[in-house]
Amino acid sequence: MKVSLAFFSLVLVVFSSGLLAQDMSDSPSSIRNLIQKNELIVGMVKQDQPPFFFLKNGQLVGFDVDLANGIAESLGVKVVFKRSADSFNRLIPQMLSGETDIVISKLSRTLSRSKFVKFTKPYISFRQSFMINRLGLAQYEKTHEEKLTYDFTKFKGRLGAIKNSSYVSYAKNYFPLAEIIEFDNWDKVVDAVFDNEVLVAYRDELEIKKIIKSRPDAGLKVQTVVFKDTKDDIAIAVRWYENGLLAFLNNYIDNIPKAEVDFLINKYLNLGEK
Amino acid sequence: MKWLRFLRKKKEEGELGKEGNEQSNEQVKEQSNDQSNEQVKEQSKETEDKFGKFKDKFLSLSKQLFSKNLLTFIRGKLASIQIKKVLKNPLTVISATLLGVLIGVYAEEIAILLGPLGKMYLYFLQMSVIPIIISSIVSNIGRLVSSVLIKDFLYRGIMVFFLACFLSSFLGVFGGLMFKPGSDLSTENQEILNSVIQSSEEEIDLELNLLTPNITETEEKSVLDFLSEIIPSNVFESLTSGRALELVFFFIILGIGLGMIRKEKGSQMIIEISTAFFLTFQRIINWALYLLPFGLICLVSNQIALTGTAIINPLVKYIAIFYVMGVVIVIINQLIIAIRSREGLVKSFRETIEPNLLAFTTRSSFACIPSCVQSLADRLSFERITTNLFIPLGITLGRYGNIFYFSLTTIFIAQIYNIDLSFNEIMITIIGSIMAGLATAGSTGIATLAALSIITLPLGIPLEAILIVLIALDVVIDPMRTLLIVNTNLMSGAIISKKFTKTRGKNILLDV
Repeated sequence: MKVSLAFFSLVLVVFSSGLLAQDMSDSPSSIRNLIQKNELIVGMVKQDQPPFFFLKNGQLVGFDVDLANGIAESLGVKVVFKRSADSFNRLIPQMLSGETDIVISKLSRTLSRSKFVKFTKPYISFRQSFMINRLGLAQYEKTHEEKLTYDFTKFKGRLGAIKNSSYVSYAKNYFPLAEIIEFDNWDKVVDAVFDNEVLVAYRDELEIKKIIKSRPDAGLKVQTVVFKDTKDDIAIAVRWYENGLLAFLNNYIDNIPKAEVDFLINKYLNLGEK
Repeated sequence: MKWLRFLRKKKEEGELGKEGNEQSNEQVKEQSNDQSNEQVKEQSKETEDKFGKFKDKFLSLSKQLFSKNLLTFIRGKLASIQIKKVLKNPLTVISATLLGVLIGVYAEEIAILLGPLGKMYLYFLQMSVIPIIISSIVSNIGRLVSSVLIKDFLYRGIMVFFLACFLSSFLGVFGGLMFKPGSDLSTENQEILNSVIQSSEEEIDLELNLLTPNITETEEKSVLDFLSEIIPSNVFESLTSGRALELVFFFIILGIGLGMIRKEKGSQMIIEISTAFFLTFQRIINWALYLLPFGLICLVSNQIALTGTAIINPLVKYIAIFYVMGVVIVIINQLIIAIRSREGLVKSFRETIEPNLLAFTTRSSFACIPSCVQSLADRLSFERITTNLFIPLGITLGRYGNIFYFSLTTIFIAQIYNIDLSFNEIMITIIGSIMAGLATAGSTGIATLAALSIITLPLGIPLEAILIVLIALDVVIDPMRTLLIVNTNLMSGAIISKKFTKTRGKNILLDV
């Protein structure tokens, strides 16, 4: 009995290692390496980015976490989250140095980043968005000939954005007449808009919807505008030479249902219940 | 049944007689000589005799029937007079309103079932409104143009109109600045308002283009735009879509034209026909008003059952100020009516309670026009031509309740956003509210509220978010707003019209 069990397990090991060997020799090196070391190290920034990744009761949860878990599962490896980077731009050199394998970190697919890494297809797409102080807007329209909502490119007021974020460069590009004011973090931008210190806050629709759903005075004080003709594509980054892995990830993204902003907020955040 | 069968028999006989005639006519043609003509005459005489017999029988029978019915008819009439008195009694009307409130609060399901009945009642009242406006203007303006009353009517009418507009606007601003309805909104209350705004059906997230201009669909109307819209390019279109303001303009012109050609053939007839129409619709409305207590039960209970109470809490101060000041204005108006009518406070109140209650409960000032006319002309015996003409005009143009609402609400919104209005801005509020009030002439319901932008835009006060709250709250505010329109117009009517008094059976105009 013992002998037969040992024999059976031996056969199983030989057979499966044979299969693996065959797999690995045929698959691209980028995937082969992952399977060999049996782990997928995912780069994520330190700061929580709900609903993408955040600690809830001591556990890391969120849309990016689910996505990484799903990819690791279909690769047959275990997932490791590395959250040492303190900014989004820091994630790129970290991956290129080999500390992480891929970056799933609510990362925008920008041209400057594309110079160093390859991006997958977007797994979610945000539109850019304005959060406008209502009082400021009414006074702006009283003093300006043209309504702000008629042509945003002629916007002349104060615009708040996060320091060094992609939105600062967008703002310089799209709103040449605006006075752009950079804040250290998003909370400060939001406070500035609510206090009418700046007229608009500029960011993606998700972050702005989160504010609308979490602040009790949002309905009275601010007005949101979503720009139909803009997008902020969020994608997975891989090292530029790992084409095999890139193809695999693209395929994976095509096979999961396309996520919407409201879906993310409703699934991962219970803002309404607060 | 007997009577019906008899009629049918008679009809058959008559037809037979006709056939006989035709046959004989054919014979006449064939024979074509004088003798046969005589024969025909004899034949037709015979049929006439037959007819006569039936006629006699029919008449005697119907007389019998009628005399029998007459007794029961009189008995019924007596009974119905008592019922009518009970139905028209102000106490009945008030208690019906209270019953409606009770049903609305304690028996929501019944109240919701009564909703369609209330609607039917309201539609029945509104059905005759446009014809009444038209016929009263056409029939009375022609007469007025040619009478000595016109000078007084125009002079007093315009004076009272502008004075009432200004006072309504001023009182709203005064109440807002004095009692501060919009300051100190607690976080809890902000949250309630926030949830109202968030859950509204209106799209609060604007989706617009960044790089290309956004062409706005709805342009804000300026006062000039509004003025140019008074003139209907196609009066039949205004008729079918019931645009009261355009119709009033057109039929005033028509009435003046008729007055000018009053010596021409037929012009008097048109005026008389219009008068007949006016009286007919008055009568129709009068029938409906007997059912007012039942209508009120349905309307009031349904309205209360459907009103959400959540939104009232954060705005309770605003609502209270609006209502208390509204009641004060109504009391002042009633005092003026009492003085002008020389009937004493109690009687003049009693005689005007019907239009007032109708306004408060139906929230349709137009539906109150016939009742207002009856109150002033029939019950308080004010001069008829001016009353008939002034009330439809006044209720269309003089939206005093709206003006008061606009000025108070503008101050309220400014306070919510912590805007301190300068003296000049307060003046703009007063004048802007009057203009916004004029812009709502002829419109009813929620369409009214959007006119607030006429005031808030030049003041730089954000309106959109609060407008959603105001629309949700309007079920509570609208009754008082409508009451103020109707009641102030009753007061204006009492000032403009002269008073008739009966001395020795003759109507004598009192020069007051």
